[in-house]
Amino acid sequence: MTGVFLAIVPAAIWLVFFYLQDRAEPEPKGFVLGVFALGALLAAGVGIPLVNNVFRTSHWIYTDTLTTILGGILVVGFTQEFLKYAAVRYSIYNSGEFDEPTDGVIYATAAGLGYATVLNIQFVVSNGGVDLGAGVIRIAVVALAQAAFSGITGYFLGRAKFESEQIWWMPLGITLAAIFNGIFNWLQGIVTQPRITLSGTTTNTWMGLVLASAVALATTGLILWLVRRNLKSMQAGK
Amino acid sequence: MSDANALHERKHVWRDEILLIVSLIVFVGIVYTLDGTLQPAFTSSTFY
Repeated sequence: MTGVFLAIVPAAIWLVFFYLQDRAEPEPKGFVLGVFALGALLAAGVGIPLVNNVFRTSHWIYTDTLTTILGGILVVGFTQEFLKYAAVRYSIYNSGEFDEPTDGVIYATAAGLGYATVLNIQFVVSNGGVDLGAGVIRIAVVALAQAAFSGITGYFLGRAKFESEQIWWMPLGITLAAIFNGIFNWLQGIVTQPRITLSGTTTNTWMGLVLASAVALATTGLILWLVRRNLKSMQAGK
Repeated sequence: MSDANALHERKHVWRDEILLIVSLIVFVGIVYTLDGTLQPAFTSSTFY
């Protein structure tokens, strides 16, 4: 139970902050939780079975560097990012509650954390539990990464709804998120690679957390800058 | 949807994201420290 509890903590932290701060013009809590649940359901019902049982990525994805990157982007990345996009696009997107460009980031982050929660529970369950120290780092890394990549899709969703974007706009957003996803997983594999030392083999799991935090901070900063730049240009054009 | 909403920005979105990152690092640090200090002995049933 401890492992499953730890897997839920990242989403719980975000939801608590969200509810504490979303007072001025609150998003309906039911919708945010609903999109979170939809992201989780799509991960459990479609994403994980597709990646693990249909594509069987664990059998071939770590064959060589090119396969790791391409498989990470084209199979894992596209599957995950499309499902998180679908969780928002085919639920709240057409509702009147999706009424600001930044709502794309909010709902996509909720979907991403739902997806991450199921990925983490599946990891704990399939391993029959995990080492507490390394396990909690992995759980935080997955949550940070999924939230960050969802933010990219959310930015594109927000603009797609409020501006008349070209037909390639959303495919571009999902593709960028999938590329970030695939490259991140490859980089994470490199920085946490086991190293043989005189005292034995060591895995550097902390580097994975450093990388995930840096990616999440950089992605948040980039999206913030893009949203503000876009709002300024829209205000100037009014 | 109104133009006013299209030009509005929920500023707390960014705070939430930053707080999530910082909190997760703190959370990992707390669990890691507790694990190292207390060295709890989990049975397969308690941890699974």
